[in-house]
Amino acid sequence: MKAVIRLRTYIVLLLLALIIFWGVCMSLYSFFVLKTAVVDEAQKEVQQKLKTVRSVYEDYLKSIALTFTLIERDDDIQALKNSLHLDYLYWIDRDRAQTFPSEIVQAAFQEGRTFGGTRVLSSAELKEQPQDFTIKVRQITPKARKSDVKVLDTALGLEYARPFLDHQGRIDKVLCGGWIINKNFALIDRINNAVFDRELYEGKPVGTVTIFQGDIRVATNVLDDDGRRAIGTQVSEEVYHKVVEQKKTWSDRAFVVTDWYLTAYEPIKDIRGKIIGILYVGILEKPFVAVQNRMFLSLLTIILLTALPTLGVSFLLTNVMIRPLTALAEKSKKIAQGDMKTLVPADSNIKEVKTLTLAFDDMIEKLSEREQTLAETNDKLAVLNKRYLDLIGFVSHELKGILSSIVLNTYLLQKGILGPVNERQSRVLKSMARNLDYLAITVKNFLNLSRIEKDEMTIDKQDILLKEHVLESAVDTFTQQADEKKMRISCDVPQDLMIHADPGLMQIVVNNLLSNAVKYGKENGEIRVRAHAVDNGVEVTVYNDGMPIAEVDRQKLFKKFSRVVYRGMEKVKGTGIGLFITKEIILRHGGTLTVEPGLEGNQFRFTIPSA
Amino acid sequence: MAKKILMVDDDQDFAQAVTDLVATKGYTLIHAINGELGFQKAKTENPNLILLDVMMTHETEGFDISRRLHEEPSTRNIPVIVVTGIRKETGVMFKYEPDEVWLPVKAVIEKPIQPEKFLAAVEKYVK
Repeated sequence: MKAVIRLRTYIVLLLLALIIFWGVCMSLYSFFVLKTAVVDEAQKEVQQKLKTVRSVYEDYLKSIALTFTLIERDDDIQALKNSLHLDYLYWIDRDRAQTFPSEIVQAAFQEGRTFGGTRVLSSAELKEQPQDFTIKVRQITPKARKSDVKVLDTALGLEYARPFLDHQGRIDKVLCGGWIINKNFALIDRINNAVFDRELYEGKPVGTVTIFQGDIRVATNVLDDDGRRAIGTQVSEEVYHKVVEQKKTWSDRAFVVTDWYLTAYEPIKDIRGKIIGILYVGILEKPFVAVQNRMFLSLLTIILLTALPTLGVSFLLTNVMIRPLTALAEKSKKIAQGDMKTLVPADSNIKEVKTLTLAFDDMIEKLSEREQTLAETNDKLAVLNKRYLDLIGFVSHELKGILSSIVLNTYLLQKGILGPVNERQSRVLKSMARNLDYLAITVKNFLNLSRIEKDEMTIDKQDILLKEHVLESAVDTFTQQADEKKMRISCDVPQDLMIHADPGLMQIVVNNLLSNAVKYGKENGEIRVRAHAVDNGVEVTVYNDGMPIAEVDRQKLFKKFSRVVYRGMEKVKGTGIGLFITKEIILRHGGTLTVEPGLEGNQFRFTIPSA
Repeated sequence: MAKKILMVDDDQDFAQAVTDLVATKGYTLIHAINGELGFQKAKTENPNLILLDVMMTHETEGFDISRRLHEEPSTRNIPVIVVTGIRKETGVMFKYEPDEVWLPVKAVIEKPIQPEKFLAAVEKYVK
């Protein structure tokens, strides 16, 4: 069965679905607009910033280069070191140059020109520095790549070297200086300030710059969870794979230490082209997400605010439709209960509703007219039926009185009480007695029929002995008639078998069944009455040899005024109410009556329940 | 002296037939055409048995007569058999069987009577 839903609910749900659909569309639309207009633009900007950072980074070398060109062979370089805030600045002689660990210095000697770039400083070199540049590797960020390195004791340096010539024009020494990038927060902040505003979002810088040595952050303004600079932490595997292993630029969102950023990464190479680090620029994604969320929330609010008046409107709308409909439904219920008086007031302003209401009124009027006609016809029929039933009852009752006299007089004649009768007279009187028995049963049946139909039959159930109180007198009654057809009646029923039934009505049942058995049974045949206790009652069967009843006639048999007559039986008298009454009586006792045709006869079987 | 049977019934023919029937056993039958007459005759004739029809069409119901006969000291010991065409299924208020209060009689026999059974009942209850 389909679920039944109220019209109001249906309309409201429909409108709500519309609003939600509209809201989802708007959310999707705004999401994509925001993404292309803001996020994608920001991503492009990050790439641009990376270029700027790269050039700022390289500008530092230019500033050394410019100063170095002004230096003479014999100048005091300590003042220069201080003014440029260099971490180191040395003169390197030709004989030391062969073993000096800087490929930049080596290149300057071999090629006789200036070189500048990033290089890895060994731990030995760092030990000569007053500061401690070692960095502990911290595996604290969720997406960082795994590394076996525990402590980073080397460092990146931004170095410049200029060869100097002696009098013969040979390179005899090289001036080499630079900054150590690791832990150089001043440097990184200057670079950062050159490209980003100093904007903070929830205590974190929005614009970030980082220099990696290999995969480890050595200089950064990205903060960890504790608000410290996230040096010693590692780049994500994904980024490392693309930038270091594939030597490409990364430009996408990436998870940096604690948050998502819109990022750009590119490799830092030494002067030989080997990748020794990564340069990173990133913008915190959170503010953009916040904007998206705000947008989504405001849309949600708009949707909700739209939904409320929509609900109101749909309520009003449904009210207009539902009120007359409810009135009609109420009216229909009343009509179903038989109340035709009150008409539906046609007060709606809506044309369709008014038409419907008027049509309904019209229908009620027609209906009540028809009902009246019907009631009149019914009354007439009821009167007719009562007359018919009264007539049957009255006639059969009167007949009983009349029958009494005739039966008695016939008996007196037949028994010779009123004088001797000859053989022919006796035969006539026997025939009269037989016909009178049949008439008596018929009259009783008609009387009972009228009681059944008037529903006046009362059943007075008692515990009675089936054989003694019911069967024996019935068998007695029909023995003479059976003898005339040379039939044998046997009644094999236990003497003590009790039934719980109305004795008078049971008499009628058994008389009818036996009367039929004698009437329709075969000459020289047998009639057997059997009974036994069954679960919750007693079952009685009455069998007679004779023409088996055809399957098609079995139901017809128990209908009022219907008779089943087979060849050879045309002369048998009957009214067609005996079995109807029998069945009615048994049904009213809560039992069943069936017929079971056999090969050479019929068996009627009925049950009477014990309670 | 022959035993007397009083029959209260409005059916003359039936009464005549019963007169002939009980005569075979040597009984005399007195017939009363309605209940009131029957009641009077019961007092004056002092019969050995009363046969009473319940559905008499005149004046008094047989039920009343049976109760009045029971209340009247001179008739209360006369046995009564009800012979009637009605059965209990007719819907009458009374239990249509011999009953101390409602129907103080010996037996109820239904019309149309079976002559042998009827005679047997008469012989059984006659005083």
